[in-house]
Amino acid sequence: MSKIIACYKWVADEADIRINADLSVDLSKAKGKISEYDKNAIEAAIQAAITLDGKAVGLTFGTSSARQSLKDALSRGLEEGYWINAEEAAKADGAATARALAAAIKNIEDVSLVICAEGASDTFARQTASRIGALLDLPVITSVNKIAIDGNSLTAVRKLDDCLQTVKTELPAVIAVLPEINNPPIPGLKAVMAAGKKPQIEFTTTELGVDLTPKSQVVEFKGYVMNRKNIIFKEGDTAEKIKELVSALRKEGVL
Amino acid sequence: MTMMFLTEEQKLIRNVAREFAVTEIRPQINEIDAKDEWPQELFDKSAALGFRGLTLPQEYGGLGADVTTQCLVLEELSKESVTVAFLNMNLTAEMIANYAAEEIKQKYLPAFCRGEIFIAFALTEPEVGSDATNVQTTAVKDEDDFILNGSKTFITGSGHAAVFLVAARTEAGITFFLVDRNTPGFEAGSVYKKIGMHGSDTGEFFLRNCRVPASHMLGQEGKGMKLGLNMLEKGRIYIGAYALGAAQGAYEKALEYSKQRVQFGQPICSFQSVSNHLAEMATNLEAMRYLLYGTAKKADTGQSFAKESPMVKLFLTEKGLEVCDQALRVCAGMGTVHDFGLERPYRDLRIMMVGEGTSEIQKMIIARQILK
Repeated sequence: MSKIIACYKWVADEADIRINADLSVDLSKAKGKISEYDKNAIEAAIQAAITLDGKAVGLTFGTSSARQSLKDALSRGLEEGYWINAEEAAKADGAATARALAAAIKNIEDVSLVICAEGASDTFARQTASRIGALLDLPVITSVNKIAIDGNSLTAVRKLDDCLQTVKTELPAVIAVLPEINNPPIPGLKAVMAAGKKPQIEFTTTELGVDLTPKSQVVEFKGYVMNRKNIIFKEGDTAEKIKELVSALRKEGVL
Repeated sequence: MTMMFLTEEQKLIRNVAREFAVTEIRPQINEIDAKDEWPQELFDKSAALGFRGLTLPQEYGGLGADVTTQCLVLEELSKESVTVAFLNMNLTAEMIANYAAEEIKQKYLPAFCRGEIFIAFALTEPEVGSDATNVQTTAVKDEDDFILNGSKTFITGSGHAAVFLVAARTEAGITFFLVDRNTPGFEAGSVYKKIGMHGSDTGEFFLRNCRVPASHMLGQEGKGMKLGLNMLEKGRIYIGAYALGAAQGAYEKALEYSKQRVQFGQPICSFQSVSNHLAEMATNLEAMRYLLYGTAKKADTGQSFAKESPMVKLFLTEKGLEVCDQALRVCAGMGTVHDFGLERPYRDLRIMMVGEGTSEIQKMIIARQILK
């Protein structure tokens, strides 16, 4: 039975993130959660597994705090959970993350499809799927909002800036899905209680023999504050108001 | 209160309840409240997720969870709606699971877990309220059946329940019977317009020569009062969970509003008169949480909670209402607007203060416990 892997990231819940007065970001009170779009990747894997008569499994790369993500992911319908346990994950960039995930995927037998979300809700770097594909020499399709699987062929609709593009590939492949691909259901309590009994497999970086040195470093991490000008153009008709707006934007150097 | 003692599973179940509350209840609760309509669609969804049978045995479609887990779920649902939380609670079904004959359990419990039926508790009568033992409804033995006559009032679910756990007096004393709504002689009466808990129907019904099989009796004949009181003892803990959820939800709303609402050039939370309210609300909530989950822990570990359960009911509904009142003060004019959703928990908690025994009765029960 082939495996369909949903890659997901355990991220800080944005609802708990606080921005300090000096714009530094306070993550100390933030609880972890599965990145929102990764829930779409998980659901897509479950649906693909039904079509392929395969097994949907989850794979995450994270620090010790990511252990708690396994039951959450398994309660959403995955049958096995894989976790690459590495403290380096806290400072990993797209390259290191993809190396870790690709090394683990090589260790999982009979993989027919790897599904990532288009981006994680913390960094939204949109690199993981493409990099995994490159490292494993597999076809990659990103920005996917619809898939159809027929035998060993996967047809995906890509939502691009100004058009929809339909592409076809043979499995195994790597895809990155957009949130509109599905509507992940709330897991039932029975599934939550059964999640603890499903297999959880832990990888160590030594086992995987992977170099997790990041290629890039985060120099500064600051909150974003939008300073509002509070200028309201009240006078004149619409054409005059727009003229005034354009002139104000020019003055600010925006246009 | 950091809930350090929760298992991973309990935290996940709480998260599921929160997600359900925010994504399913929140968008429609103002409308349900305004129209005072029984939220069947929400029940169907919550049943499909497994909320209805949470504490019921697995062989009847339940999940066999403990009191703490039930409280976590009820708290989360109550943050958005006490009504939805209350109607998802399953104490009547627990009574059936504990005391009914096997065929009765098979008949009603799986259907209850699937959300197909609601089972109402029918103790109160025109002459029975705080004086719970003064049951006037009669059950007279007639071969293999009992013939029930009487009237019940303030019964939640009177308009929609498929089955009623009816307290009636036999020759041996107070006994509970399961009465199907379709039984000839069952007649539903008025449904009251209440201050809060809109969406749940509370009203009266009448039993006129209702023939109920003896197999529909719960436990032993004449021992019903003990069963009822056992149920109420646990029910008081769950009322604490509704109160905590409603008050916590109101507090969070007021806290957020106080940070955003600017008066005299600064957020109103920077004024001591407002921040004092916030401090008092947070302190009360912390105390409420400790008492509730400490008592739930006792129930789950097989210890007696006869004294703590009325304390939970008394303290959490009184303090919960106080928190809701302070939240309304913080939000001032906005708090009075229906669509803002802050006056609803206040109205709902006012009912919780009365249901399953008033605060005054709770004090009487506590005093009995500490003076015995």
